[in-house]
Amino acid sequence: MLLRVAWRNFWRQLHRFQVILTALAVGFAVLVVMIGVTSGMTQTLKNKAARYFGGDVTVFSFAPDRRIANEAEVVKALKSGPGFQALCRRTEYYGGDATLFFGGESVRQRKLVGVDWSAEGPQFALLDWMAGGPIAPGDEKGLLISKATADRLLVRCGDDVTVVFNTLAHQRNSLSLVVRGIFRDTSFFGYASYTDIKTLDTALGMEPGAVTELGAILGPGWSSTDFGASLVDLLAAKLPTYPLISSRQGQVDAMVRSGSGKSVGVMTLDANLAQIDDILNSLMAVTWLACGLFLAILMIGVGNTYRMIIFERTQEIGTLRAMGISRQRLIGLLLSEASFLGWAGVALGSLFGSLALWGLRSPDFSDNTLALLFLQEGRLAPWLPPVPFAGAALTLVVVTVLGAGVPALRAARLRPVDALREGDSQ
Amino acid sequence: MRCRWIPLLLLLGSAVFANALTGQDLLRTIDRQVTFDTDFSGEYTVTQDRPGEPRSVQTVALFRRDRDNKFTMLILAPEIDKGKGYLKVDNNLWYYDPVGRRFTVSSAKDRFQNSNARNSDFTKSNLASDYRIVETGQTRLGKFDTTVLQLEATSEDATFPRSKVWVTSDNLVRKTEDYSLSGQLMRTVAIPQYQRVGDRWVPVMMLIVDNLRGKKVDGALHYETTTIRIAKPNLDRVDDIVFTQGYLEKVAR
Repeated sequence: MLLRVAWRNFWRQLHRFQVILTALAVGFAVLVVMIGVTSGMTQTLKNKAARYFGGDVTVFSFAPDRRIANEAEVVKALKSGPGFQALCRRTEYYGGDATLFFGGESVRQRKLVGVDWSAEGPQFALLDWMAGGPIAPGDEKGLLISKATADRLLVRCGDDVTVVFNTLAHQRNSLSLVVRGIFRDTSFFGYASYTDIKTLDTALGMEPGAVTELGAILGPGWSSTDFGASLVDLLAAKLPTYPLISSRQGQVDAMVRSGSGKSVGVMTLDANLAQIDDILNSLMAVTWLACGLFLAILMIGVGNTYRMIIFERTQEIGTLRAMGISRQRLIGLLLSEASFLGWAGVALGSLFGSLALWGLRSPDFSDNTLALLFLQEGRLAPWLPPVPFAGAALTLVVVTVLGAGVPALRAARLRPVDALREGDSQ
Repeated sequence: MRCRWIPLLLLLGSAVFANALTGQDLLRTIDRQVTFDTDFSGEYTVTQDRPGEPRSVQTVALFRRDRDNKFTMLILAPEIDKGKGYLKVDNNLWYYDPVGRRFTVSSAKDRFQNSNARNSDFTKSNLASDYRIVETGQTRLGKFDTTVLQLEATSEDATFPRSKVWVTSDNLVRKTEDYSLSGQLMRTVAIPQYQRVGDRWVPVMMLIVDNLRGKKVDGALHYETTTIRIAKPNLDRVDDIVFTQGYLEKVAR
């Protein structure tokens, strides 16, 4: 009953709320844009990192040849984890001496990756391609390199490059591969080249098709740490598994100890990204600080506007009180109106914010090298995660109600006779 | 019936074995020609030519004690590299940088001072212990009649998994081509002239051509080259202290 009266009051007196409703809608739209942009940037970075590290969660071997012997067991465990989306099957060469040669020029690569294209092709299609594209399954001569590498080698798609590295038996070996694609990426993920897993296995002296890393790509919003923890539990029931590794240094320590007798280790993307956690945390801190300031300003604005609205409605309040409405019900009525105002602001703000986010997908920022880390194909890829969005919406409503609280309390304190008199004098 | 084949198989087996022995003996002879029973020292001038870049020259004092598998290299010039050094004892090789005053582990397979020479180019020859002959042939190399040996690494210590060496009748290597495991030519080394030191030999000059690194100049690809000239060869005894880390630290001060 109270809510129905409140809704009728809100709807009939919408003209009084126009200004504050516009402010709330614009404010929430800004919040939506800020959350959408920062979440999108973070998610894009994580997607790039997942592609670079071979999954949001990766399983690696402590065997001397680094080959995962129980592939079927590990794949089964990965596929049953929470949020599993796609499988990564890789052989990774971290020798640090992998060098690409073309026309006398040379570029060292941070790592050389053998990829099972039938499993990971769709993930690679999302790279920011400058030329060419992902390698088709079965193409054993193809190579994908970054733009930074291509620029230094003066190489183009279709050119033959020589890749030199050491085999497992510490012998110098080389591959002559054809550049099929050149992708743009920051130096953080850039100096890695990708070729067919069987080609690299054979060249390294491993059995063709063997893997050194198995990984899982997770759906947006799923926690790699949670997945990693459950994966360790699943694997531990079947294989000697090292405890969940929480940092790059932790992985190095585990490798130095040869896994302390365990056969596999599990590394999460969160652990891999620990190095750039500061950047991500700073980004989120700035976003939430800005949101907080914005909400505080909105609350003050709502308070002032509501004071004015209540002043204008003094006679109406006096009449309601004279008709016998209690102070508590009056406060409830005014706060309910405020909550409707807040929800209306959320609805309109969501609409405006979503339109703004859609518009932000268009501009090409690929010339900005610093921003590349957070861009997908040179553009922002905003993403509105449900939980922060719902939190922001609820916060806006609470802020509106809190802003209206003080004026509502004052209105409730008015005696009916004083209210009617003040209303007459207006 | 079966017994009839046994002597023939034995004969064939022994022939193959004898051939293999001959091959390793040849490699041992080649190694012996450039390996010293006494200590050896010399002044090496390493000239690095990179197309389109200024030439860089380093002077290195080299001390070898082949019988103990040791060597020390000390960079004497230019001033900026002075005091840098290498020490090899058995299979351990350390690089000393006087700026950081610390030793880092290196490998005989690593490039010497970012040149096209490998650290192993300065050590004694280990063909017999690192390689086996898979094919032999005769060919003419400039003014030399040579035997060409195709070598395949038998040891992880070999700098390159495959090599092709041109050897003259005096058992001196005149040219080497080093290949990757898949057969990619990595570099070519030419040793046109040797100097006699005692009853052994030391190259007068080694020309190393990197067959991968280079630069296109006026449309033509020019490879990087490293020339090593060896002067002042000496067989006098070298103090034991020279083959210690302390020596490199001391001379760098």
